[in-house]
Amino acid sequence: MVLSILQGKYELNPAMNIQIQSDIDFDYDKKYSIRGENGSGKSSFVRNILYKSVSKNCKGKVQYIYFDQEILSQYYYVKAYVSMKEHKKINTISAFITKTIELHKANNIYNSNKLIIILDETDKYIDTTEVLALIADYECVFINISHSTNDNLKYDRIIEINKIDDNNATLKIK
Amino acid sequence: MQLSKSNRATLKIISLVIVAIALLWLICYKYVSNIPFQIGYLIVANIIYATIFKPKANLKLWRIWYKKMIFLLVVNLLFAYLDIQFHLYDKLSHQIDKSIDFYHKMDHLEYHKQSIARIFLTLMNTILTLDAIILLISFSDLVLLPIGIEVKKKILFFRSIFNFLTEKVKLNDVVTDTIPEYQFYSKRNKFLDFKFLFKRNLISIFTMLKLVTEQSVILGQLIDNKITHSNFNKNGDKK
Repeated sequence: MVLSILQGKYELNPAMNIQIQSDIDFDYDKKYSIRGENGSGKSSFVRNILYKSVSKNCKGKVQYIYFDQEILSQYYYVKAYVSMKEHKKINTISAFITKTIELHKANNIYNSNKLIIILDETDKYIDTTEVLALIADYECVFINISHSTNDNLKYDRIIEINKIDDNNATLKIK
Repeated sequence: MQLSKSNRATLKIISLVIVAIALLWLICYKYVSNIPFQIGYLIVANIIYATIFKPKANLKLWRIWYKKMIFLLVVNLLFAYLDIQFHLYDKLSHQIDKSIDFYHKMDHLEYHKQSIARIFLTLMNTILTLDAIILLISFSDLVLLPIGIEVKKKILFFRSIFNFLTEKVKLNDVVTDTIPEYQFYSKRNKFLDFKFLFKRNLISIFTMLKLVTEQSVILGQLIDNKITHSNFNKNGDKK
């Protein structure tokens, strides 16, 4: 087990709490899908709970890639980095996603083929199967956030977030 | 006599601008070298800021500025070490008795101590004051101002950009962690690798510039669309 989020009540943002009904364990070579309606708190859960947990527990041990829903800042950041370092241009968000994964593979800091990858609705820009093909030779914890039901990938776990009212949401594992 | 909403907003903005000018005159001119005044002002301003905008906002402001303050402190300590003095704003230099070496040395130390305190306090007080005054002027106040739409839309635009900048001024870990090299940074502990730090900060500045430019284009279009929508009909005639 790479990462675990314990059951309990967590703050998603100052106005909303989430009740995680059972412990969530994340393992290598497993695919996880986080699903829920628009505004149910999927992205807030990933940004404020999951990413923080990854950053806290995995920094210095495992490389991780997280594509936030508000992807523009990351896009311009990598664009500037690549143009400075490699004198190359990145012109699309899909190219940025591909380049970021390639950068992580090229800078294999911990000399391992392990990776945690979190995609927050990146299917708007790039096909998820393309991302999976890029990391095929890696042992990954693959987490995909999507509200689309036409996601045909086979997942090992489906994490469902449901909004109860304006201030509360629940998280269940299917 | 009851004032209309528009008059109230105008009165509020004029009063705030007058207060800002008066406070800035005190901080940056009248008492610029009065360290006890500046310290007192900093304490009072922080208490008022935290009371009006909540302590979290006050903490955020400090979090944004502390690194720049440390940098300024390092540069000024370097000036102190090399004994570089700026006579342009130096009032103390006239009081130095250069005939006695001991006092000469003491006064130089005193000069730099005063200089560092003055720069740090004046800058932080100015930032706190300007930030508080701008935040006190709300969008609805600006909308109600009895001025032409051409000027008003520019004021609203700059107020929106100010909001965007205060929210995004520091790129968070999510962004910096995207680059594997920077994700590894804390592990490498390369605090004194200036080349590395310079490159990383330069990339952050480029990113911020690009974000602000992008946001300016979107905001400008949004404001123009809103004006067109509210003031003109489908044929382009004024409503």
